[in-house]
Amino acid sequence: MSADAIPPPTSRPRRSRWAWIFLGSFLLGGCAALALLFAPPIQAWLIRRAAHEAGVEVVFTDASVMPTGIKITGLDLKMPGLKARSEPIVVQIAPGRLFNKRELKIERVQARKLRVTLTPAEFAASPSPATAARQPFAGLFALLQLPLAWALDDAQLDGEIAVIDGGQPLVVGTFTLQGGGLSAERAGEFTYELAVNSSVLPLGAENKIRSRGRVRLAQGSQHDLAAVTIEGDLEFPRYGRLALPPARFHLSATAAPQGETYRARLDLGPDATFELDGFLDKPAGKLTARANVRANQALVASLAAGKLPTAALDGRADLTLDLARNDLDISLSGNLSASNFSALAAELSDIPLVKGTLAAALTRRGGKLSLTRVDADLHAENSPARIRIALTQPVDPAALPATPLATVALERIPLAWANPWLFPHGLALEPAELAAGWQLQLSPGRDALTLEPTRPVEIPAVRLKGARLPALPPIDITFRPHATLSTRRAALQLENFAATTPKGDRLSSRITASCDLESGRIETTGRISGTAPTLLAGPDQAAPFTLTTRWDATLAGTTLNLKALELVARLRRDAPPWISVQLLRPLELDVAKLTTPKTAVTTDWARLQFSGFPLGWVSRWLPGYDFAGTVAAGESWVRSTAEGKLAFETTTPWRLADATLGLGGRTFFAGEATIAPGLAVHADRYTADIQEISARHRDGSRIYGSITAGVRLGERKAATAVELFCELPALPHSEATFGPLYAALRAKSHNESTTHAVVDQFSLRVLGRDRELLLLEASAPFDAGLSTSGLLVARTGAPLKLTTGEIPLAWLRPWLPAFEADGMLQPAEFHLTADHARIQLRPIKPVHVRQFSARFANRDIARDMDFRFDLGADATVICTPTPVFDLGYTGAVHLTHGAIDVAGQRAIDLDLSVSFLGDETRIYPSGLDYTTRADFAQLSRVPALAGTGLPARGTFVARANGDLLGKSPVEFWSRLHGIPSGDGQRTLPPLELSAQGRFEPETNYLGAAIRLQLETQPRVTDAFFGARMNLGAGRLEIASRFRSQFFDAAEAFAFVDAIQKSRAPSSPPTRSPSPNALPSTPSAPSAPALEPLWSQLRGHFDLDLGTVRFAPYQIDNVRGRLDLRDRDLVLSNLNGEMFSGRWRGAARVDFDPQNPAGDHAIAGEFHIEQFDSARILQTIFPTELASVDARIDVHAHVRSRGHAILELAERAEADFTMEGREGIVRLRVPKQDLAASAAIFAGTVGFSSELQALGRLLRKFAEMPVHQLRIAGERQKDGDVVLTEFRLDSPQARLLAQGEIAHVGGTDLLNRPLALSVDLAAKDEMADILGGMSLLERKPRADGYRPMKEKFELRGKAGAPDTRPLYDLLAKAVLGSKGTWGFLMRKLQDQVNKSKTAAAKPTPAP
Amino acid sequence: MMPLRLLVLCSALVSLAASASRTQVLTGTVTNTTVDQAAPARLALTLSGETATAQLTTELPLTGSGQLAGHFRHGWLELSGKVDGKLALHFRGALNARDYRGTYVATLPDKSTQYGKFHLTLER
Repeated sequence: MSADAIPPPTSRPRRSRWAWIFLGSFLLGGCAALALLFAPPIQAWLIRRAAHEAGVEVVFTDASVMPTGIKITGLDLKMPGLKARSEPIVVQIAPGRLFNKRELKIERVQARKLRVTLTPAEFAASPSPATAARQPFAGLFALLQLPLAWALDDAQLDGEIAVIDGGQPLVVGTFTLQGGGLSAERAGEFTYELAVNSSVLPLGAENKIRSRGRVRLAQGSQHDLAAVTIEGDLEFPRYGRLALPPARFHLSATAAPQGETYRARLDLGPDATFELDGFLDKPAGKLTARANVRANQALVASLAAGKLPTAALDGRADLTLDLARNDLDISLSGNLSASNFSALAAELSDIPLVKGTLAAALTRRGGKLSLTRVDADLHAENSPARIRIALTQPVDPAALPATPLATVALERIPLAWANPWLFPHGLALEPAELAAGWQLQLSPGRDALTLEPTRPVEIPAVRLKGARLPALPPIDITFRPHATLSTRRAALQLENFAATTPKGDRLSSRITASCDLESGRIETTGRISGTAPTLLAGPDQAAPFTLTTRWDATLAGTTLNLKALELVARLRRDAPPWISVQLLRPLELDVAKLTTPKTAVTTDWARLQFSGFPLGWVSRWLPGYDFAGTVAAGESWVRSTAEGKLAFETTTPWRLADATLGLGGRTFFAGEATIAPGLAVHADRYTADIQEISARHRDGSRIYGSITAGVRLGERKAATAVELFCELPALPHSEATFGPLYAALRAKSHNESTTHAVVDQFSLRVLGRDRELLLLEASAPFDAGLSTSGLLVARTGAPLKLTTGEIPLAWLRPWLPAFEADGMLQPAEFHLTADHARIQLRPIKPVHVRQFSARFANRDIARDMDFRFDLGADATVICTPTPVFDLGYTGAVHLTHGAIDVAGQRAIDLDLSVSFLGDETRIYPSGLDYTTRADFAQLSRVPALAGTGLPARGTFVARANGDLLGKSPVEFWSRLHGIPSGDGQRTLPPLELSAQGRFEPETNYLGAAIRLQLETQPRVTDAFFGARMNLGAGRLEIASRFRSQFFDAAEAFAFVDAIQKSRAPSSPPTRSPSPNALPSTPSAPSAPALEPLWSQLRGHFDLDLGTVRFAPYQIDNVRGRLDLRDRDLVLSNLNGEMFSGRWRGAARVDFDPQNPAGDHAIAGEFHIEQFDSARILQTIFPTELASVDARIDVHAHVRSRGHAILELAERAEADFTMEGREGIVRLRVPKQDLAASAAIFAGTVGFSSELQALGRLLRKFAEMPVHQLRIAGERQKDGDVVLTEFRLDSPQARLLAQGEIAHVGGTDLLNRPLALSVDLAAKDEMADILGGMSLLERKPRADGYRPMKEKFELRGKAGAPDTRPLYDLLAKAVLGSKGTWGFLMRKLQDQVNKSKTAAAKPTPAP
Repeated sequence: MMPLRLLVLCSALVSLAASASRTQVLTGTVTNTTVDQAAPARLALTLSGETATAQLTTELPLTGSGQLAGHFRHGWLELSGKVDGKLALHFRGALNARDYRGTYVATLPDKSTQYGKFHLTLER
């Protein structure tokens, strides 16, 4: 059936009758035709016809009329490469338009569950009309052309789609398509949704490629399509680490006047773009296209963040297709840049930015494809490294020749790029470059790819360095590597391998290896020969090696076939071998069972021989170890029994002659040794043993014994017996202590499982020269092994007993540098238990140390005492031996009930717990709990402690607790109680010191806030400052404020004095009347000190003291700075308030231990400005009116030299001046409590004129205004104060005096005796009075004052002078030469008494 | 009259005893370092001259509550006793105006010695 069969339209009749008849007939016919048209067979025919017109074969099983159209069931639609089946499908076609207008109007297509199958392979193979007629491609739209007009009003399709490749579904998915409105006049629009599974991911809802978009179709004028546009979104599933961003695409094909244009664009987000522009030039018969690809770094980064190198690429492809001749030209070009290769592997971090270009060309002429060009170039930026791949000749990709296809060249590849792989092993290659080249070629059978070197691989002057490697010479390496790779076999052949050094080393080899990829069979042959005069032994040793090695082996499964094996090393080629391994006959070995085929007799397979094999060269390769000597002789065999059981037997023990083994520069063994290793393989077990172990040191020490292990493979059981005996030299630092040692280790064990062993017997005994030092033995079996988590664990049912012998503590000194201990540790016994990872050590009886002495930071803390304590330890040990040995532990050592008794009395109590943690290399103390009490009264009874700084009595309680790793604070508190003063006459107040800080383990410092509290009366002395203690040097380093509210300097000095006295040789006690005064007499000269008074203090204080008291004096609000250095102490910027005056000063103490006169020298100056003299005098003489009341300036310069602090004070020399102005001087009248004195003061009328004049004079003296007061003098070394000038100027009197204040130990200055010779001069009224008493010269001096005829001397105390000599002089003037003031007063008193008596008599009444 | 005199005498002695002794309460933590377990503890401490008595209360997970006795000398306080029937405790440490801190040993018959430390602060 064809379209021509459709009846043509009829013309309308002219006449009415006929017209009616015709009309009726037409109507009837039309109805019939219409009925026929709507009849299922007709509709079905129409569909088939329409489909046929479109080149589609349509078959269906049934068609039925539905109200909405025709329902077709069992529809099969076939095109080349496309099959569709639907059940059901409803198609409604307008038949009238088909017949009337030759228009195929599909009003509706509705298909559900449409199954569409695409087979791409059939597209190409289909005998399309074009290829059948060898017509050139006429365009896409020509293929979609219908012979009649057509329209599609509505389409609703859904179903499944499958892409078949090789008979298997490659892609399976679902789709929906809805839309319509397509006609010759109007473009139709459709929407679609597509979801197909990914061919590279398993089925799953998440693993689908999804697309959603619109399709727009427009018809052309020839019932064809004029434009097709598809645009939509694409979503890709995640491919492992790859996550492609959502994509947007646009496809269009548009009819053009000369052909068709094609455009495609795919945007993967903003980071990648694919564009294609094509044009079909119909007249020219050419299809041209250009494709551009661009992907920036962000795309690669987004694909797998941090897992891929940073890369960007752009590429272009140009295609020209001659449609007439089917000739094709494709050219490709592209650029690549990539960096950050460490994202792929950390070891690639040294590879810099790599840039690459690719150029390729593909042509087809006469139906034959030809790849004419491939040029790939990769080069590293800022590096000459380059890799080139180039096609050697044009090739047909479909028929590659067996001639060289391409060349691969590596140029100047830096070997340093390989260093990241070497660094973890402590190795590195010095800069060197590699060059190589290959030809790629297919084998004649086209089944293998071979790489034939076009040039040798050359690595000139490569030098390997490493911390644990000796200095190696540069090595030139060349070789020719051949490689063959096929689907069944990989083979590598290194030919002409040569490694040479400038020193004459040369090794050459040829090695082949192949692997059958299907069977896994490995074959290898090779030989290595050459001489290595310096490479192994180093340039300094004359031990050249000549090596010869060859082998020929095949490994198939567990069967190893050794056809040849030989290793020989010797001095020279003509010398006998030093060591040789030689296979005596071909060996077939089951490497799993270590068995050989059964033979009738015992067979020797291989032999190992030593003959003078030197060992010294090994030292070069093991830094820290020193080996010397030779393996002088030895012979071992690999044998099998008749049953094929393999054994390694030593027939001649390996003898090490003149052997030396050193470690860390210390020689541990030097002498002769033999061992005889053996291994026997039985049916189900091995027996490995090292027999005849014997090593004798030059000094006579030796180790001998045997180790035997029996292993049952089937049961996976083993039993081991170890018997080793050592006659050892002394351990390091132990020669004098223990002498040579003897140790015996006996152990037997068996395993219960692969990870669990039972130690059946265990005994370790160490003996010294004359006693047993240690015995650790198990009384019952104990378990040891690996836990399920791989930890090394042990469990003791009964505790192991550890017994230690008598051990001198001095042995510990090298390990405890800051703590020197002496004494003899008495035999002790402990129980050692283990439970899983926990280990406990518990004392069976107290540990006893006799004659215990200890020094810490160069200070004695114990000497010649008996020390008892309990010693225990807890530890948790975490050890995983495999796959990587890892060891960690925590625990604590407990010293409890520590006690030192002296003559039956407790002198020291001590408890100490030190927690620790560590690994296989270091142990760290992590925590400390320490408490101690010392009774100095008991300790002082130990003669050896005399002069060590311990007080004669009192107690010391201290504790220290905290974290030694610096995570939490360390606290220290101590209290000194009942300490005697330096003179032993009183007890000093208790002293408490507390500190809180953190330990800095990195620097071994303890930073702390320190508080001192001295319980002085009536107020507690306190001090607070920050300091850092250098625990290594035992030194306190300060840089902080020193704050105190009240500081009793006298008591502080007394404490220092007490400690110093304790250290010094004892001196007879001296009496001190005042608790706060200095000693009454100078102490015996102190011994020179090795360290300054400030001892271990270094740094500076900013002083901030509320009150500093040195009774009876006190300074308030003291500020200043104290610097403490190795050789000097400097007090600077001192200032404060003293007796209402401003006090300031500076001082320094220099330390010179070489100066015999005194290792300390003080120089200082002090100034008090405008201090209130009345206050100081009233402080000392509170019941008396101050003799001087003035504002006085004091300036003093002090210097001294001595050993001890009080000695410095006692020996101090000083010169001073005191100046005051406008004050009052009161000359105290002797016997002023007498009524006579009052009478004179009152100027009693009844007195004589002399007495009345005296009264006026006394009133002058009692309150004498002073214009100026100046005192100058010096304190001498013996303590005496010489007053060189005492000058007092008042309006009517002027005193000029000289004298001294004698030193009285233990007495403050103002209470010391005064002797002052005074020259008095007067003027005005006082001159008149004294002149009237004939005491003055008649002639005034130049200053207008009349001097007294004779001097008088003041005595008494410096702060309260005795004025009697003056008043005696006055009395003498009143009474005549025989009078004294006392006589005068008695006389006057009598007179006063009489006058009082007279006044008391009753007066008669008037 | 005799009973009245005895009553007055007893009252005087009690007053004297009360004035000579002082009871302080300390609270804090004891840590058994052998098993690495810590627990709150309370110590009611009475000092009379150099004689010390104390009532120890230890909370779970550790045990050990009862009467301890010992001596105190210039800051050094040593207490021991058998608590909970058979647990022998021995505390030694330094006591100052703020706290009592030191180490202890605990022993049960047929068991290995356990070690510990304590830090108890005076309640104000």
